[in-house]
Amino acid sequence: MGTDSVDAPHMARPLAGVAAFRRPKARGSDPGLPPDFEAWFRDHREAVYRFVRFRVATREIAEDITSEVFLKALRSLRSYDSRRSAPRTWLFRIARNAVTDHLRALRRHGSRQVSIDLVPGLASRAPSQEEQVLEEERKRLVMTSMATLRQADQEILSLRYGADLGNREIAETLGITANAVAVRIHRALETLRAAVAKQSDEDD
Amino acid sequence: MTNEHRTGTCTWPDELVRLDRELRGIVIDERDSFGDELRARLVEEHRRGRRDAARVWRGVPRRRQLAAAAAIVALFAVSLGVPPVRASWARLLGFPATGAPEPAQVAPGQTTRSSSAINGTGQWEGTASVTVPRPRQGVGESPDIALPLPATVPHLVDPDEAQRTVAEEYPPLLQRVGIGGTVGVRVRVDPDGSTDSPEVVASSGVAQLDVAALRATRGLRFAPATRGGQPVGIWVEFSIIFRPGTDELRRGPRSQETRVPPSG
Repeated sequence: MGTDSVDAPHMARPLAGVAAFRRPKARGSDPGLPPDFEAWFRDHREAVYRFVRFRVATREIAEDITSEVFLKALRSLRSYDSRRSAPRTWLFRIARNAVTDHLRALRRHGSRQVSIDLVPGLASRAPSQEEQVLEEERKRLVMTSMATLRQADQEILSLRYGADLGNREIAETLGITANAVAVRIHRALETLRAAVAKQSDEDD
Repeated sequence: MTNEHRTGTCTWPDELVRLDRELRGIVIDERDSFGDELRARLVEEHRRGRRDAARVWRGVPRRRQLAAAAAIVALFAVSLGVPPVRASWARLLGFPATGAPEPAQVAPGQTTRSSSAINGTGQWEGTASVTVPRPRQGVGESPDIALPLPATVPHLVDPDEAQRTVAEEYPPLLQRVGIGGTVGVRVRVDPDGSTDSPEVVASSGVAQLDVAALRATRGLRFAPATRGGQPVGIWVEFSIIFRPGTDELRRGPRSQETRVPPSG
């Protein structure tokens, strides 16, 4: 192979490098997301959606808010500081604010967010059909009662049972200690238990 | 399954346990295509953001563009003189690392035994043993969710150490009178392999054993589950078995005098 050959490495490589650098991307090619963000989206989208879904009445609203959370995160990616919080903590902070804004807007318009009992998006994992019907009823009762709790209680229960987070993860998200999380979950469940009993009595 | 505990200091009444189970039993069925749709929106948003940034850059005079580029190159060159920064650049650009790897990068997923040796047996032999954890059949594992399952489940980093931990927590009094049992435990294994929020899901019927199981669970170290090569947090359930009556176990706690087992 002669030195004037286009295959000569010392000639071909710089040219190929420059050409590749200057070549516009093919139309329709997927530039993708920033690598870190792609991983966060993959790892935390499900948990964020479930957290939001636990707090709002319909699947559509949950999808809107989840979309808003990730769009906002993408836009403010430059302001994210990994030394201050983990990506999950940061995303859940945005999600909490988004849910709070949504609920505040609902209150301003005089709407209550307790129509969760009409939504088929929350299903039971009961094994048999009869049990499933009964459990479905019970779960609707639980979720309807949960919507009557104060926001802080709803939030911590949504982080535990919606997002499926452990005490330490919830503690990071809320900026409190893991022990405080355990106590607050216990209290929130006690309050929910009373609310379920009250709701059940009213239904009867 | 009665008398379930949440922590070593708190026992939940049955009604609360039932409520907890009901809340955990709720499946949230995300629309199958939602993830893809949202990702497409995010990609479009990202592309638009880059276009806008490029537009801003085009408005800058040529001389300033060159000055900014020269400044960036100079900063890059200077940063190469600082070893930690150089290492970061090497990692970022995908060059093989030189020198010793950082411990934090090595720790997750490393085990002193092969996973088949740990996972294959299902249950350890011995007086106090732990079965292999399996992922909880929860929302994250529901087929309704489009996200892929973790590629690996958590497994114990050092089964022998785990067995010692369990043996040390076995109340000596119960051992002496021959009381044992199996405790079903659920725990969150964080991405760093540590355990969080241990709970008893199947009581042994002996409160002290349940508490001992929770204590032991806190001391276990796992190699975390991974998804896409990255460690992820996941809930797992497994059994801790306290089996009384062998000399080996009786010798265990005494030989570890620095770690006194709790009084039964």
